[in-house]
Amino acid sequence: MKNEEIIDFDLSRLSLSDLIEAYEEIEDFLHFLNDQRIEEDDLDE
Amino acid sequence: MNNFLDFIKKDIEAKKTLVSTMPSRTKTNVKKLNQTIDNIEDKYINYKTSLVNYLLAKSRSFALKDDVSDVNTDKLNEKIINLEHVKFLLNPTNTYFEKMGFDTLLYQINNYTTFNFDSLNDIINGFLDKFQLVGIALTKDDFHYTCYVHEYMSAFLDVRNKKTKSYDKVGEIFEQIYWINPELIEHIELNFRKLIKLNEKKFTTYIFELQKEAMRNNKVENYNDCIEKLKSLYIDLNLAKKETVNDIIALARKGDIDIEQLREGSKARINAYNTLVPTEVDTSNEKEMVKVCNVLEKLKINIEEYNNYLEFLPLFNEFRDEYINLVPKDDNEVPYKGLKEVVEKINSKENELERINKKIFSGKPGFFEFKSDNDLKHLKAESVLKAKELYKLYKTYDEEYFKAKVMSTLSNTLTIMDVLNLYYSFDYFKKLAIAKAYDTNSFEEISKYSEDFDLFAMNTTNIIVSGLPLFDERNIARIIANKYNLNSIKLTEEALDEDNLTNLLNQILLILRINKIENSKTTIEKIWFMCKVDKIVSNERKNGNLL
Repeated sequence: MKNEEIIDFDLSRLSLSDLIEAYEEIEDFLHFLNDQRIEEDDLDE
Repeated sequence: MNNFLDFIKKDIEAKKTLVSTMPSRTKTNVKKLNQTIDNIEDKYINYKTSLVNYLLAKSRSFALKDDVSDVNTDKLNEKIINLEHVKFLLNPTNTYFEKMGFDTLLYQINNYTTFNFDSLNDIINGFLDKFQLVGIALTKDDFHYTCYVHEYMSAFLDVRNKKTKSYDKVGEIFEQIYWINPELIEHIELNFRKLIKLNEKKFTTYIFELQKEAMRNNKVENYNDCIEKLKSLYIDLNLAKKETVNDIIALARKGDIDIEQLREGSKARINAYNTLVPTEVDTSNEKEMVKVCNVLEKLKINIEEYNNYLEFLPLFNEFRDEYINLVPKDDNEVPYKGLKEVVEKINSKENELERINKKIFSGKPGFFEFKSDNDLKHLKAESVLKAKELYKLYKTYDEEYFKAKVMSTLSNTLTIMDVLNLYYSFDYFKKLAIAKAYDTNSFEEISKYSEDFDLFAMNTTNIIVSGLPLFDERNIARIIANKYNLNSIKLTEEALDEDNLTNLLNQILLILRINKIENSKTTIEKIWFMCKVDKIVSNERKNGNLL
Protein backbone atom coordinates (compact mmCIF):
# COMPACT_ATOMS: atom_id res chain seq x y z
CA MET A 1 0.00 0.00 0.00
CA LYS A 2 3.02 2.25 0.17
CA ASN A 3 2.37 3.68 -3.31
CA GLU A 4 -0.96 5.01 -2.08
CA GLU A 5 0.71 7.59 0.14
CA ILE A 6 0.31 11.04 -1.38
CA ILE A 7 3.95 11.71 -0.69
CA ASP A 8 4.73 9.30 -3.53
CA PHE A 9 2.83 11.44 -6.02
CA ASP A 10 4.31 14.48 -7.66
CA LEU A 11 1.39 16.93 -7.46
CA SER A 12 3.33 19.51 -9.41
CA ARG A 13 2.83 17.33 -12.48
CA LEU A 14 -0.90 17.95 -12.35
CA SER A 15 -2.46 20.86 -14.18
CA LEU A 16 -4.37 23.42 -12.11
CA SER A 17 -7.72 22.05 -13.22
CA ASP A 18 -6.60 18.46 -12.48
CA LEU A 19 -5.66 19.50 -8.95
CA ILE A 20 -9.13 20.92 -8.39
CA GLU A 21 -10.70 17.85 -9.98
CA ALA A 22 -8.71 15.63 -7.61
CA TYR A 23 -10.09 17.54 -4.63
CA GLU A 24 -13.64 17.26 -5.97
CA GLU A 25 -13.24 13.50 -6.61
CA ILE A 26 -12.07 12.96 -3.03
CA GLU A 27 -14.85 15.12 -1.59
CA ASP A 28 -17.51 13.22 -3.56
CA PHE A 29 -16.00 9.90 -2.57
CA LEU A 30 -15.99 10.84 1.12
CA HIS A 31 -19.69 11.66 0.84
CA PHE A 32 -20.30 8.35 -0.90
CA LEU A 33 -18.52 6.49 1.89
CA ASN A 34 -20.57 8.26 4.49
CA ASP A 35 -23.78 7.23 2.74
CA GLN A 36 -22.71 3.58 2.65
CA ARG A 37 -22.24 3.33 6.41
CA ILE A 38 -24.97 1.29 8.18
CA GLU A 39 -26.02 1.83 11.80
CA GLU A 40 -25.07 -1.37 13.66
CA ASP A 41 -27.80 -0.98 16.33
CA ASP A 42 -30.52 -1.27 13.70
CA LEU A 43 -29.70 -4.88 12.91
CA ASP A 44 -30.45 -8.16 14.75
CA GLU A 45 -27.74 -10.81 14.98
CA MET B 1 5.92 8.42 -10.64
CA ASN B 2 2.14 7.92 -10.72
CA ASN B 3 -0.37 10.54 -11.71
CA PHE B 4 -2.34 11.24 -8.55
CA LEU B 5 -5.61 12.05 -10.33
CA ASP B 6 -5.50 8.87 -12.45
CA PHE B 7 -4.62 6.86 -9.37
CA ILE B 8 -7.50 8.10 -7.21
CA LYS B 9 -10.01 7.81 -10.06
CA LYS B 10 -9.14 4.11 -10.50
CA ASP B 11 -8.81 3.52 -6.78
CA ILE B 12 -12.15 5.17 -6.00
CA GLU B 13 -13.85 3.07 -8.64
CA ALA B 14 -12.38 -0.11 -7.18
CA LYS B 15 -13.21 0.88 -3.61
CA LYS B 16 -16.77 1.78 -4.57
CA THR B 17 -17.22 -1.71 -6.08
CA LEU B 18 -15.71 -3.27 -2.99
CA VAL B 19 -17.96 -1.40 -0.58
CA SER B 20 -21.11 -1.93 -2.66
CA THR B 21 -20.57 -5.66 -2.94
CA MET B 22 -19.74 -6.36 0.70
CA PRO B 23 -22.46 -8.35 2.51
CA SER B 24 -24.51 -6.44 5.06
CA ARG B 25 -27.15 -8.87 6.22
CA THR B 26 -25.78 -9.73 9.65
CA LYS B 27 -24.41 -7.57 12.40
CA THR B 28 -20.96 -9.12 11.83
CA ASN B 29 -21.19 -8.24 8.12
CA VAL B 30 -22.10 -4.67 8.92
CA LYS B 31 -19.31 -4.35 11.45
CA LYS B 32 -16.86 -5.53 8.82
CA LEU B 33 -18.34 -3.19 6.21
CA ASN B 34 -18.13 -0.19 8.51
CA GLN B 35 -14.60 -1.11 9.50
CA THR B 36 -13.59 -1.21 5.83
CA ILE B 37 -15.29 2.17 5.21
CA ASP B 38 -13.46 3.70 8.20
CA ASN B 39 -10.11 2.49 6.88
CA ILE B 40 -10.73 3.88 3.39
CA GLU B 41 -12.06 7.12 4.83
CA ASP B 42 -8.98 7.64 7.00
CA LYS B 43 -6.76 7.25 3.98
CA TYR B 44 -8.77 9.65 1.87
CA ILE B 45 -9.00 12.24 4.62
CA ASN B 46 -5.21 12.12 4.72
CA TYR B 47 -5.07 12.53 0.95
CA LYS B 48 -7.40 15.49 1.17
CA THR B 49 -5.43 17.18 3.95
CA SER B 50 -2.19 16.90 2.00
CA LEU B 51 -3.88 18.02 -1.20
CA VAL B 52 -5.54 21.05 0.43
CA ASN B 53 -2.19 22.13 1.91
CA TYR B 54 -0.62 21.86 -1.51
CA LEU B 55 -3.49 23.82 -3.15
CA LEU B 56 -3.14 26.57 -0.56
CA ALA B 57 0.61 26.91 -1.04
CA LYS B 58 0.22 26.93 -4.82
CA SER B 59 -2.56 29.54 -4.70
CA ARG B 60 -0.51 31.79 -2.44
CA SER B 61 2.43 31.57 -4.84
CA PHE B 62 0.20 33.09 -7.58
CA ALA B 63 -0.44 36.34 -5.69
CA LEU B 64 0.89 39.41 -7.49
CA LYS B 65 2.78 42.23 -5.85
CA ASP B 66 0.60 45.14 -4.72
CA ASP B 67 0.10 47.88 -7.30
CA VAL B 68 2.37 50.79 -6.65
CA SER B 69 1.11 53.97 -8.20
CA ASP B 70 3.05 57.20 -8.51
CA VAL B 71 -0.21 59.11 -8.29
CA ASN B 72 -1.67 59.93 -4.90
CA THR B 73 -5.40 59.51 -5.52
CA ASP B 74 -6.29 60.95 -2.11
CA LYS B 75 -4.56 64.20 -3.01
CA LEU B 76 -6.19 64.23 -6.43
CA ASN B 77 -9.60 63.68 -4.85
CA GLU B 78 -8.98 66.49 -2.39
CA LYS B 79 -8.05 68.86 -5.22
CA ILE B 80 -11.17 67.84 -7.14
CA ILE B 81 -13.44 68.41 -4.13
CA ASN B 82 -11.93 71.89 -3.67
CA LEU B 83 -12.30 72.78 -7.33
CA GLU B 84 -15.86 71.42 -7.47
CA HIS B 85 -16.64 73.84 -4.66
CA VAL B 86 -15.05 76.71 -6.59
CA LYS B 87 -17.06 75.67 -9.66
CA PHE B 88 -20.23 75.66 -7.57
CA LEU B 89 -19.48 79.15 -6.28
CA LEU B 90 -18.56 80.55 -9.70
CA ASN B 91 -21.42 78.88 -11.60
CA PRO B 92 -22.67 81.73 -13.84
CA THR B 93 -26.10 80.13 -14.35
CA ASN B 94 -27.49 80.56 -10.83
CA THR B 95 -27.52 83.24 -8.14
CA TYR B 96 -26.61 83.79 -4.47
CA PHE B 97 -29.91 82.06 -3.62
CA GLU B 98 -28.78 78.66 -4.91
CA LYS B 99 -25.15 79.17 -3.90
CA MET B 100 -26.26 79.80 -0.30
CA GLY B 101 -28.25 76.56 -0.50
CA PHE B 102 -31.60 78.27 0.12
CA ASP B 103 -33.18 76.31 -2.74
CA THR B 104 -32.30 73.01 -1.06
CA LEU B 105 -33.79 74.20 2.24
CA LEU B 106 -36.90 75.42 0.41
CA TYR B 107 -37.32 72.01 -1.14
CA GLN B 108 -37.03 70.43 2.29
CA ILE B 109 -39.51 72.76 3.98
CA ASN B 110 -41.90 72.20 1.07
CA ASN B 111 -41.75 68.51 1.86
CA TYR B 112 -42.07 68.87 5.62
CA THR B 113 -44.82 66.24 5.70
CA THR B 114 -42.16 63.62 4.93
CA PHE B 115 -40.21 64.51 8.05
CA ASN B 116 -40.79 64.42 11.77
CA PHE B 117 -40.93 67.44 14.04
CA ASP B 118 -37.17 67.31 14.83
CA SER B 119 -36.31 67.43 11.13
CA LEU B 120 -38.54 70.47 10.73
CA ASN B 121 -36.57 72.20 13.49
CA ASP B 122 -33.35 71.28 11.68
CA ILE B 123 -34.64 72.92 8.49
CA ILE B 124 -35.61 76.12 10.36
CA ASN B 125 -32.22 76.13 12.08
CA GLY B 126 -30.66 75.62 8.65
CA PHE B 127 -32.26 78.87 7.44
CA LEU B 128 -31.24 80.74 10.60
CA ASP B 129 -27.64 79.44 10.32
CA LYS B 130 -27.32 80.81 6.81
CA PHE B 131 -28.38 84.26 7.99
CA GLN B 132 -25.89 83.99 10.84
CA LEU B 133 -23.15 83.13 8.32
CA VAL B 134 -23.50 86.55 6.77
CA GLY B 135 -23.70 88.28 10.15
CA ILE B 136 -27.46 88.56 10.47
CA ALA B 137 -28.80 87.40 13.83
CA LEU B 138 -32.55 87.19 13.24
CA THR B 139 -34.81 88.05 16.15
CA LYS B 140 -38.51 87.51 16.80
CA ASP B 141 -39.18 90.98 15.39
CA ASP B 142 -38.12 89.68 11.98
CA PHE B 143 -40.92 87.13 12.02
CA HIS B 144 -44.22 88.89 11.63
CA TYR B 145 -45.53 87.40 8.40
CA THR B 146 -48.56 86.43 10.45
CA CYS B 147 -49.19 86.66 14.19
CA TYR B 148 -48.93 82.85 14.35
CA VAL B 149 -45.52 82.83 12.66
CA HIS B 150 -44.46 85.47 15.20
CA GLU B 151 -45.71 83.40 18.12
CA TYR B 152 -44.06 80.20 16.92
CA MET B 153 -40.75 81.73 15.89
CA SER B 154 -40.49 83.71 19.17
CA ALA B 155 -40.68 80.44 21.09
CA PHE B 156 -38.32 78.78 18.63
CA LEU B 157 -35.69 81.52 18.91
CA ASP B 158 -35.92 81.45 22.71
CA VAL B 159 -34.96 77.79 22.71
CA ARG B 160 -32.33 78.23 19.99
CA ASN B 161 -30.68 81.12 21.82
CA LYS B 162 -30.55 79.13 25.05
CA LYS B 163 -28.68 76.47 23.06
CA THR B 164 -30.70 73.73 24.73
CA LYS B 165 -31.54 70.82 22.56
CA SER B 166 -35.08 70.29 23.76
CA TYR B 167 -37.69 71.80 21.50
CA ASP B 168 -40.56 70.24 23.50
CA LYS B 169 -42.01 73.63 24.47
CA VAL B 170 -41.93 74.73 20.82
CA GLY B 171 -43.75 71.51 19.96
CA GLU B 172 -46.55 72.39 22.38
CA ILE B 173 -46.96 75.83 20.81
CA PHE B 174 -46.96 74.24 17.35
CA GLU B 175 -49.81 71.94 18.50
CA GLN B 176 -51.86 74.92 19.74
CA ILE B 177 -51.38 77.00 16.58
CA TYR B 178 -51.74 74.10 14.15
CA TRP B 179 -55.49 73.67 14.78
CA ILE B 180 -56.17 77.35 14.08
CA ASN B 181 -53.60 77.75 11.30
CA PRO B 182 -52.60 74.41 9.69
CA GLU B 183 -50.56 76.27 7.06
CA LEU B 184 -48.15 77.60 9.71
CA ILE B 185 -45.06 75.94 8.19
CA GLU B 186 -45.89 77.33 4.75
CA HIS B 187 -46.12 80.81 6.26
CA ILE B 188 -42.79 80.38 8.07
CA GLU B 189 -41.35 79.53 4.65
CA LEU B 190 -42.83 82.75 3.21
CA ASN B 191 -41.35 84.75 6.07
CA PHE B 192 -37.91 83.34 5.29
CA ARG B 193 -38.37 84.03 1.58
CA LYS B 194 -39.18 87.65 2.39
CA LEU B 195 -36.17 87.97 4.70
CA ILE B 196 -33.86 86.47 2.08
CA LYS B 197 -35.14 88.97 -0.49
CA LEU B 198 -34.67 91.84 1.98
CA ASN B 199 -31.06 90.85 2.65
CA GLU B 200 -30.16 90.00 -0.93
CA LYS B 201 -27.28 92.51 -0.95
CA LYS B 202 -25.60 90.96 2.10
CA PHE B 203 -25.85 87.47 0.67
CA THR B 204 -24.51 88.60 -2.70
CA THR B 205 -21.55 90.32 -1.06
CA TYR B 206 -20.89 87.26 1.08
CA ILE B 207 -20.82 84.99 -1.98
CA PHE B 208 -18.65 87.47 -3.86
CA GLU B 209 -16.08 87.39 -1.03
CA LEU B 210 -16.23 83.59 -0.95
CA GLN B 211 -15.64 83.47 -4.70
CA LYS B 212 -12.59 85.74 -4.43
CA GLU B 213 -11.12 83.70 -1.60
CA ALA B 214 -11.80 80.39 -3.32
CA MET B 215 -10.23 81.58 -6.58
CA ARG B 216 -7.16 82.89 -4.73
CA ASN B 217 -6.70 79.71 -2.66
CA ASN B 218 -7.10 77.42 -5.65
CA LYS B 219 -5.23 79.60 -8.19
CA VAL B 220 -8.26 79.85 -10.45
CA GLU B 221 -8.75 82.79 -12.83
CA ASN B 222 -12.42 82.38 -13.64
CA TYR B 223 -15.21 79.83 -14.17
CA ASN B 224 -13.85 78.52 -17.50
CA ASP B 225 -10.36 78.21 -16.05
CA CYS B 226 -11.87 76.21 -13.18
CA ILE B 227 -13.66 73.87 -15.62
CA GLU B 228 -10.44 73.27 -17.57
CA LYS B 229 -8.47 72.53 -14.42
CA LEU B 230 -11.17 70.15 -13.23
CA LYS B 231 -11.22 68.33 -16.57
CA SER B 232 -7.50 67.73 -16.41
CA LEU B 233 -7.71 66.52 -12.79
CA TYR B 234 -10.50 64.11 -13.68
CA ILE B 235 -8.39 62.69 -16.53
CA ASP B 236 -5.54 62.08 -14.05
CA LEU B 237 -7.93 60.54 -11.54
CA ASN B 238 -9.56 58.24 -14.10
CA LEU B 239 -6.11 57.08 -15.18
CA ALA B 240 -5.03 56.48 -11.59
CA LYS B 241 -8.24 54.62 -10.83
CA LYS B 242 -8.09 52.43 -13.94
CA GLU B 243 -8.78 48.80 -13.10
CA THR B 244 -5.60 46.78 -12.53
CA VAL B 245 -5.09 43.02 -12.68
CA ASN B 246 -5.01 43.02 -8.88
CA ASP B 247 -8.42 44.72 -8.90
CA ILE B 248 -9.76 42.02 -11.23
CA ILE B 249 -8.31 39.29 -8.97
CA ALA B 250 -9.94 40.90 -5.94
CA LEU B 251 -13.32 41.13 -7.75
CA ALA B 252 -13.11 37.49 -8.82
CA ARG B 253 -12.16 36.27 -5.34
CA LYS B 254 -15.00 38.27 -3.79
CA GLY B 255 -17.37 36.70 -6.31
CA ASP B 256 -18.28 40.06 -7.85
CA ILE B 257 -17.22 38.72 -11.25
CA ASP B 258 -17.50 35.16 -12.46
CA ILE B 259 -13.99 34.14 -13.50
CA GLU B 260 -15.40 31.09 -15.30
CA GLN B 261 -16.74 33.50 -17.94
CA LEU B 262 -13.22 34.72 -18.75
CA ARG B 263 -11.85 31.22 -19.37
CA GLU B 264 -11.15 30.07 -22.89
CA GLY B 265 -14.13 28.28 -24.39
CA SER B 266 -16.69 29.83 -22.03
CA LYS B 267 -20.02 30.72 -23.66
CA ALA B 268 -19.88 34.29 -22.32
CA ARG B 269 -16.38 34.81 -23.75
CA ILE B 270 -17.30 33.40 -27.17
CA ASN B 271 -20.47 35.55 -27.27
CA ALA B 272 -18.57 38.72 -26.31
CA TYR B 273 -15.97 38.23 -29.04
CA ASN B 274 -18.63 37.32 -31.61
CA THR B 275 -20.70 40.41 -30.74
CA LEU B 276 -17.94 43.00 -30.75
CA VAL B 277 -14.78 41.81 -32.49
CA PRO B 278 -14.86 41.59 -36.29
CA THR B 279 -14.09 38.12 -37.69
CA GLU B 280 -11.02 39.41 -39.55
CA VAL B 281 -9.32 40.29 -36.24
CA ASP B 282 -7.01 37.57 -34.96
CA THR B 283 -7.95 37.49 -31.27
CA SER B 284 -4.74 35.67 -30.39
CA ASN B 285 -2.68 38.49 -31.88
CA GLU B 286 -1.59 40.73 -28.99
CA LYS B 287 -1.09 43.87 -31.09
CA GLU B 288 -4.43 43.57 -32.85
CA MET B 289 -6.27 42.99 -29.57
CA VAL B 290 -4.59 45.97 -27.87
CA LYS B 291 -5.88 48.12 -30.73
CA VAL B 292 -9.40 46.71 -30.37
CA CYS B 293 -9.31 47.22 -26.60
CA ASN B 294 -8.28 50.87 -26.93
CA VAL B 295 -11.41 51.48 -28.98
CA LEU B 296 -13.53 49.41 -26.58
CA GLU B 297 -12.35 51.59 -23.66
CA LYS B 298 -13.82 54.62 -25.44
CA LEU B 299 -16.99 52.74 -26.35
CA LYS B 300 -17.42 51.79 -22.69
CA ILE B 301 -17.31 55.46 -21.64
CA ASN B 302 -19.78 56.39 -24.40
CA ILE B 303 -22.18 53.63 -23.38
CA GLU B 304 -22.06 54.68 -19.74
CA GLU B 305 -22.95 58.21 -20.84
CA TYR B 306 -25.71 56.91 -23.14
CA ASN B 307 -27.05 54.81 -20.26
CA ASN B 308 -27.20 57.93 -18.06
CA TYR B 309 -28.92 59.81 -20.87
CA LEU B 310 -31.57 57.09 -21.16
CA GLU B 311 -32.12 57.08 -17.40
CA PHE B 312 -32.96 60.78 -17.49
CA LEU B 313 -34.76 60.77 -20.84
CA PRO B 314 -38.18 61.25 -19.13
CA LEU B 315 -36.79 64.43 -17.55
CA PHE B 316 -35.46 65.75 -20.86
CA ASN B 317 -38.75 64.91 -22.58
CA GLU B 318 -40.70 66.70 -19.85
CA PHE B 319 -38.50 69.77 -20.27
CA ARG B 320 -38.86 69.66 -24.06
CA ASP B 321 -42.66 69.39 -23.91
CA GLU B 322 -42.83 72.23 -21.38
CA TYR B 323 -40.71 74.68 -23.33
CA ILE B 324 -40.97 73.74 -27.00
CA ASN B 325 -43.70 76.30 -27.63
CA LEU B 326 -41.69 79.05 -25.94
CA VAL B 327 -38.68 78.79 -28.24
CA PRO B 328 -38.28 82.28 -29.81
CA LYS B 329 -39.11 82.17 -33.49
CA ASP B 330 -37.86 85.63 -34.47
CA ASP B 331 -36.15 88.64 -32.90
CA ASN B 332 -39.32 90.71 -32.77
CA GLU B 333 -41.00 88.63 -30.14
CA VAL B 334 -42.42 90.41 -27.10
CA PRO B 335 -39.93 90.09 -24.23
CA TYR B 336 -40.92 87.70 -21.47
CA LYS B 337 -42.49 89.52 -18.50
CA GLY B 338 -44.01 86.71 -16.42
CA LEU B 339 -41.57 86.96 -13.51
CA LYS B 340 -41.83 90.75 -13.22
CA GLU B 341 -45.60 90.57 -13.12
CA VAL B 342 -45.76 88.00 -10.35
CA VAL B 343 -43.13 89.88 -8.29
CA GLU B 344 -45.32 92.99 -8.49
CA LYS B 345 -48.35 91.02 -7.36
CA ILE B 346 -46.40 89.53 -4.44
CA ASN B 347 -45.11 92.94 -3.35
CA SER B 348 -48.56 94.47 -3.44
CA LYS B 349 -50.16 91.58 -1.54
CA GLU B 350 -47.34 91.55 1.03
CA ASN B 351 -47.99 95.27 1.63
CA GLU B 352 -51.66 94.52 2.23
CA LEU B 353 -50.71 91.76 4.64
CA GLU B 354 -48.29 94.05 6.45
CA ARG B 355 -51.03 96.63 6.95
CA ILE B 356 -53.29 93.99 8.54
CA ASN B 357 -50.40 92.74 10.69
CA LYS B 358 -49.63 96.25 11.91
CA LYS B 359 -53.19 96.50 13.22
CA ILE B 360 -52.93 93.12 14.91
CA PHE B 361 -49.53 93.79 16.51
CA SER B 362 -50.35 97.32 17.63
CA GLY B 363 -53.69 96.24 19.03
CA LYS B 364 -55.44 99.02 17.06
CA PRO B 365 -57.70 98.24 14.08
CA GLY B 366 -57.53 101.91 13.04
CA PHE B 367 -57.30 105.01 15.11
CA PHE B 368 -59.21 103.26 17.86
CA GLU B 369 -58.65 100.27 20.14
CA PHE B 370 -60.31 96.94 19.30
CA LYS B 371 -63.91 97.03 20.36
CA SER B 372 -64.10 93.30 20.96
CA ASP B 373 -62.14 90.05 20.70
CA ASN B 374 -64.11 89.39 17.54
CA ASP B 375 -62.39 92.28 15.70
CA LEU B 376 -58.98 90.80 16.46
CA LYS B 377 -60.14 87.31 15.52
CA HIS B 378 -61.45 88.64 12.23
CA LEU B 379 -58.16 90.41 11.42
CA LYS B 380 -56.12 87.31 12.26
CA ALA B 381 -58.28 85.20 9.97
CA GLU B 382 -57.89 87.80 7.23
CA SER B 383 -54.10 87.77 7.59
CA VAL B 384 -54.01 83.98 7.32
CA LEU B 385 -56.17 84.18 4.19
CA LYS B 386 -53.80 86.74 2.63
CA ALA B 387 -50.80 84.55 3.51
CA LYS B 388 -52.55 81.62 1.85
CA GLU B 389 -53.00 83.66 -1.33
CA LEU B 390 -49.36 84.68 -1.15
CA TYR B 391 -48.27 81.06 -0.85
CA LYS B 392 -50.03 80.36 -4.14
CA LEU B 393 -48.39 83.42 -5.67
CA TYR B 394 -44.96 82.23 -4.53
CA LYS B 395 -45.62 78.91 -6.26
CA THR B 396 -46.26 80.85 -9.46
CA TYR B 397 -43.15 82.89 -8.70
CA ASP B 398 -41.09 79.70 -8.53
CA GLU B 399 -42.38 78.56 -11.89
CA GLU B 400 -41.75 81.97 -13.44
CA TYR B 401 -38.30 82.28 -11.83
CA PHE B 402 -37.10 79.08 -13.45
CA LYS B 403 -38.93 79.90 -16.65
CA ALA B 404 -37.06 83.22 -16.78
CA LYS B 405 -33.75 81.35 -16.39
CA VAL B 406 -34.75 78.92 -19.12
CA MET B 407 -35.93 81.71 -21.41
CA SER B 408 -32.54 83.41 -21.13
CA THR B 409 -30.90 80.39 -22.78
CA LEU B 410 -33.82 78.95 -24.73
CA SER B 411 -33.29 78.50 -28.46
CA ASN B 412 -33.90 75.77 -30.99
CA THR B 413 -30.25 74.78 -30.67
CA LEU B 414 -30.48 74.07 -26.94
CA THR B 415 -28.53 70.89 -26.15
CA ILE B 416 -29.01 68.17 -23.56
CA MET B 417 -25.84 69.50 -21.92
CA ASP B 418 -27.55 72.91 -21.50
CA VAL B 419 -30.48 71.20 -19.75
CA LEU B 420 -28.04 69.28 -17.55
CA ASN B 421 -26.40 72.56 -16.58
CA LEU B 422 -29.71 74.26 -15.89
CA TYR B 423 -31.06 71.57 -13.59
CA TYR B 424 -27.65 71.10 -11.97
CA SER B 425 -27.68 74.80 -11.14
CA PHE B 426 -31.22 74.82 -9.74
CA ASP B 427 -31.59 71.99 -7.26
CA TYR B 428 -35.11 72.97 -6.22
CA PHE B 429 -36.48 72.97 -9.77
CA LYS B 430 -34.55 69.83 -10.66
CA LYS B 431 -36.31 67.99 -7.84
CA LEU B 432 -39.73 69.37 -8.84
CA ALA B 433 -39.08 68.27 -12.42
CA ILE B 434 -37.95 64.81 -11.28
CA ALA B 435 -41.14 64.39 -9.24
CA LYS B 436 -43.19 65.25 -12.32
CA ALA B 437 -41.19 63.27 -14.89
CA TYR B 438 -41.07 60.10 -12.81
CA ASP B 439 -44.50 60.61 -11.28
CA THR B 440 -43.31 60.20 -7.70
CA ASN B 441 -43.68 61.99 -4.39
CA SER B 442 -41.22 59.83 -2.51
CA PHE B 443 -38.58 62.10 -0.97
CA GLU B 444 -35.98 59.29 -0.96
CA GLU B 445 -36.63 58.36 -4.58
CA ILE B 446 -36.42 61.98 -5.73
CA SER B 447 -33.21 62.53 -3.73
CA LYS B 448 -31.65 59.43 -5.31
CA TYR B 449 -32.58 60.56 -8.84
CA SER B 450 -31.25 64.01 -8.00
CA GLU B 451 -27.89 62.68 -6.78
CA ASP B 452 -27.50 60.48 -9.87
CA PHE B 453 -28.45 63.40 -12.07
CA ASP B 454 -25.79 65.63 -10.49
CA LEU B 455 -23.14 62.96 -11.01
CA PHE B 456 -24.17 62.73 -14.66
CA ALA B 457 -24.15 66.52 -15.08
CA MET B 458 -20.73 66.81 -13.42
CA ASN B 459 -19.13 64.07 -15.50
CA THR B 460 -16.36 65.65 -17.54
CA THR B 461 -16.20 62.69 -19.94
CA ASN B 462 -19.69 63.50 -21.33
CA ILE B 463 -19.32 63.93 -25.05
CA ILE B 464 -22.54 62.73 -26.72
CA VAL B 465 -24.86 65.06 -24.79
CA SER B 466 -22.73 68.16 -25.38
CA GLY B 467 -23.81 68.35 -29.00
CA LEU B 468 -27.17 66.62 -28.76
CA PRO B 469 -30.03 69.01 -29.60
CA LEU B 470 -33.05 68.82 -27.31
CA PHE B 471 -35.63 69.84 -29.87
CA ASP B 472 -34.35 67.74 -32.77
CA GLU B 473 -34.79 64.02 -32.28
CA ARG B 474 -31.78 61.94 -33.22
CA ASN B 475 -31.20 58.22 -33.25
CA ILE B 476 -28.27 58.14 -30.83
CA ALA B 477 -27.98 54.35 -30.97
CA ARG B 478 -27.44 54.57 -34.71
CA ILE B 479 -24.92 57.42 -34.33
CA ILE B 480 -22.88 55.40 -31.79
CA ALA B 481 -23.11 52.17 -33.81
CA ASN B 482 -22.00 53.89 -37.03
CA LYS B 483 -19.09 55.62 -35.28
CA TYR B 484 -17.73 52.37 -33.87
CA ASN B 485 -18.32 50.41 -37.06
CA LEU B 486 -15.93 52.93 -38.63
CA ASN B 487 -13.46 52.06 -35.85
CA SER B 488 -13.66 48.35 -36.72
CA ILE B 489 -15.92 47.34 -33.85
CA LYS B 490 -18.92 45.15 -34.57
CA LEU B 491 -21.85 47.01 -33.05
CA THR B 492 -25.52 46.97 -33.96
CA GLU B 493 -28.29 49.37 -33.03
CA GLU B 494 -30.10 46.48 -31.32
CA ALA B 495 -27.12 45.93 -29.00
CA LEU B 496 -27.66 49.52 -27.86
CA ASP B 497 -31.32 48.96 -26.94
CA GLU B 498 -31.97 50.09 -23.38
CA ASP B 499 -32.65 46.50 -22.27
CA ASN B 500 -29.41 45.22 -23.84
CA LEU B 501 -27.04 47.92 -22.55
CA THR B 502 -26.02 46.18 -19.31
CA ASN B 503 -25.25 43.05 -21.28
CA LEU B 504 -23.22 45.03 -23.82
CA LEU B 505 -21.25 46.78 -21.06
CA ASN B 506 -20.53 43.42 -19.44
CA GLN B 507 -19.30 42.04 -22.76
CA ILE B 508 -16.95 45.00 -23.24
CA LEU B 509 -15.66 44.63 -19.68
CA LEU B 510 -15.12 40.93 -20.23
CA ILE B 511 -12.93 41.49 -23.31
CA LEU B 512 -11.02 44.33 -21.62
CA ARG B 513 -10.35 42.20 -18.54
CA ILE B 514 -9.24 39.18 -20.58
CA ASN B 515 -6.86 41.43 -22.50
CA LYS B 516 -5.52 43.01 -19.34
CA ILE B 517 -4.83 39.63 -17.73
CA GLU B 518 -3.31 38.18 -20.87
CA ASN B 519 -0.84 41.06 -20.99
CA SER B 520 0.14 40.68 -17.35
CA LYS B 521 2.32 38.41 -15.24
CA THR B 522 -0.56 36.12 -14.39
CA THR B 523 -3.10 34.05 -16.34
CA ILE B 524 -6.85 33.53 -16.26
CA GLU B 525 -6.25 29.90 -15.22
CA LYS B 526 -4.22 30.98 -12.22
CA ILE B 527 -6.94 33.43 -11.12
CA TRP B 528 -9.59 30.76 -11.66
CA PHE B 529 -7.47 28.37 -9.53
CA MET B 530 -7.11 30.96 -6.74
CA CYS B 531 -10.91 31.42 -6.67
CA LYS B 532 -11.49 27.67 -6.56
CA VAL B 533 -8.98 27.26 -3.73
CA ASP B 534 -10.69 30.09 -1.81
CA LYS B 535 -13.96 28.18 -2.02
CA ILE B 536 -12.29 24.91 -0.98
CA VAL B 537 -10.64 26.60 1.99
CA SER B 538 -13.91 28.16 3.08
CA ASN B 539 -15.64 24.77 2.75
CA GLU B 540 -12.93 23.03 4.78
CA ARG B 541 -13.08 25.73 7.44
CA LYS B 542 -16.85 25.44 7.63
CA ASN B 543 -16.49 21.70 8.27
CA GLY B 544 -13.83 22.30 10.90
CA ASN B 545 -11.06 20.66 8.88
CA LEU B 546 -8.96 23.81 8.63
CA LEU B 547 -8.17 26.57 11.08
